[in-house]
Amino acid sequence: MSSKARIIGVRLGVIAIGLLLTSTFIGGAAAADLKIGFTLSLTGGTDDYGKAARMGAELALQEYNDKGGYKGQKVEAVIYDDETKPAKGVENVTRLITRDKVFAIVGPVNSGVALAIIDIAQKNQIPLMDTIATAEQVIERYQKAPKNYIFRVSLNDGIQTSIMLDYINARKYQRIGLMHDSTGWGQSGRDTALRLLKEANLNLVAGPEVFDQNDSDMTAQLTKMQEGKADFIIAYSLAPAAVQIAKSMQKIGLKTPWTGTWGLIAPNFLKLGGKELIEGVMAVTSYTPDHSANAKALHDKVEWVFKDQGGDFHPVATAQTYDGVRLVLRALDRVGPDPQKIRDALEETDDFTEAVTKMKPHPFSSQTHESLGRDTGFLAVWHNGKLEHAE
Amino acid sequence: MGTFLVKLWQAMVSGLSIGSIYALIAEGYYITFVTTGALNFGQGEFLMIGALFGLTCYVSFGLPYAVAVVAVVLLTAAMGIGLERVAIRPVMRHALSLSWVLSTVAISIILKNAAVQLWGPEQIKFPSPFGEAVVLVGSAGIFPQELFIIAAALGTVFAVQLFLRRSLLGKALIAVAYNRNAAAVMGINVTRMVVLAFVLSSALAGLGGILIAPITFAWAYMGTTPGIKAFAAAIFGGLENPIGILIGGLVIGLLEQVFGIINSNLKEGVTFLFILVVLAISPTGLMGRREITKV
Repeated sequence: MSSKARIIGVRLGVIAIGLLLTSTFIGGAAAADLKIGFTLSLTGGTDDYGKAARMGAELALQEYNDKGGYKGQKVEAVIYDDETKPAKGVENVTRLITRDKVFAIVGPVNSGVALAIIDIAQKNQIPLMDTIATAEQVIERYQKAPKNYIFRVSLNDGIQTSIMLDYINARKYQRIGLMHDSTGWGQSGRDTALRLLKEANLNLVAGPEVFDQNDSDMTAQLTKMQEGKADFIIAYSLAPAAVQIAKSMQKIGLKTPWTGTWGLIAPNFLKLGGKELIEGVMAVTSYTPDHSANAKALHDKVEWVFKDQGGDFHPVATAQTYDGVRLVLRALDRVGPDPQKIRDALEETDDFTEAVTKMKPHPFSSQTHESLGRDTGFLAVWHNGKLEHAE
Repeated sequence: MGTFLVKLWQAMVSGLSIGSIYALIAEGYYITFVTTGALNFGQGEFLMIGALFGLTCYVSFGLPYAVAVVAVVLLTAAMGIGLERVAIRPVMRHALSLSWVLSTVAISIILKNAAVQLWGPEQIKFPSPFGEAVVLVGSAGIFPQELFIIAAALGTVFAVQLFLRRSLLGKALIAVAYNRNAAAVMGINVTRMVVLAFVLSSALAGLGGILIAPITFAWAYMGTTPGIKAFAAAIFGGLENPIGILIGGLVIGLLEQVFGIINSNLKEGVTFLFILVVLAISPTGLMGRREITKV
């Protein structure tokens, strides 16, 4: 069925139902709406990401609608909270597709939720734009399908270590220390790091040292770094344990530069550690407010528009979602509200020059649905409570 | 000092501070065990409530730290009354009943869920009243809070012992522990003494929470590990010997940190292996009463 026929069909159906309800008006209005759906963690452990993502989404939509929307018609956001629970995410996506009839879905935040919902989007042929979740399988699962409906504007877990290694090579660090938490995520990070360090011919002089993510004292592990005379430390750690690393470094007077993964760009890290403690700590990112003019413009807008919601409190989550939603809207402009055509248009887009992340103008192709990779990620450094591009 | 000695000293101070928290909670196990034969397996969650309620008093309400500590002790003491009434008294009617294991675990799960509702699931920073600057003690960097924990926890353990040995109320409690029926005959209100035991035990855990939170953060799931480690300390030291328990708590805290110097992968495994060996040699713990069976 062509999209026009589909829309007419939907309209007729809705009108029929409307007649049954003796209210044609409500039914007719619903069919005319253009909706983009969201499932985000607005409560639960990762609500900071969800709330920041929502700001990016709202800003992108507001700008699009202010310019006239799609052929004069405004696009409406339908935003559901998945509470960071996979089951709730499944419920949300099902509702977005069957009841709200959205033309695309953006989200979620949590990788566990993502892995639970992508099957539904793929099966129903609705493009899903993941702007936060980092698990590699989110994109890999349907990479070999004839048409992959899942796209990402976020750095996947696997690529983050390469970005650290590029930084280490560029700054000519020679003696690397490695630490990781004892979770599955921490161990897989360790394995990737060991492999890449070997490939790059870099010396691992200390570690891998392991810690529990609830440990409150890391002096034993850090003393190993000190004794090995590491000149750069890689740590796979979530924000709470990373704060303990920074505290324990103070205890033993260790001042070696060190980086964590994407987790340490979160506002939680700043809140738990305080800006003095985390000064100089680095993290992998695709965005800092100071890396380009576009980035700066977004940061200023978010600070102003959302100042009652804490301003640009989680810049990366906001920026990636802002880019992701704008890519979907650009595809809508080109091909109309047909989910399958939007999917194709997302792969074809090659003139997205206004990205605020380091994304290239041709972010997706039939070969890859990862818009951010090794050459578009970089290290950010905490300076005075703000994220900056690491020198 | 040689580098190894510096490391050892650093590990010992950190170990002593966490170990004294284990000891504080474990003394709570001791008090209720000797009076009723039951333990509160939710001690760790009482610690968590102490930390989070302390956070609300100290940070949200802006009360002085000392006032927050008193408020925490009062709240957790009151919760001890509730615990005894809801989870202990109804299930202890039968002398051999083990239902208190389940009922105290049930309370701990309820507390954890309630805490997630009230304070959320994430770690929250608890600023130390003594500042965040490191002080050097013999070339080891220590947070003032850690020194305060050691002093406050050990001071409290000794104060409780003094109370039990010297005051009339304390002596009554010990009398109940020694012989329940005889104590009742002597006119001691056994039921009240049992309540008192749970009040003391809960308040000790609550105090532990507000002491440790500036080091570990405050959060709904913070209590589980200290609860288990303190239980290990109590068994390891000898459940009926308060001095053994104190030593047990400190030893477990120390061992974890000291083994950490050698190999961070194995520190908890080796610590618990050590406990197994000690228990194999001395089944009632380091300083537990020897059971002598005459045939």
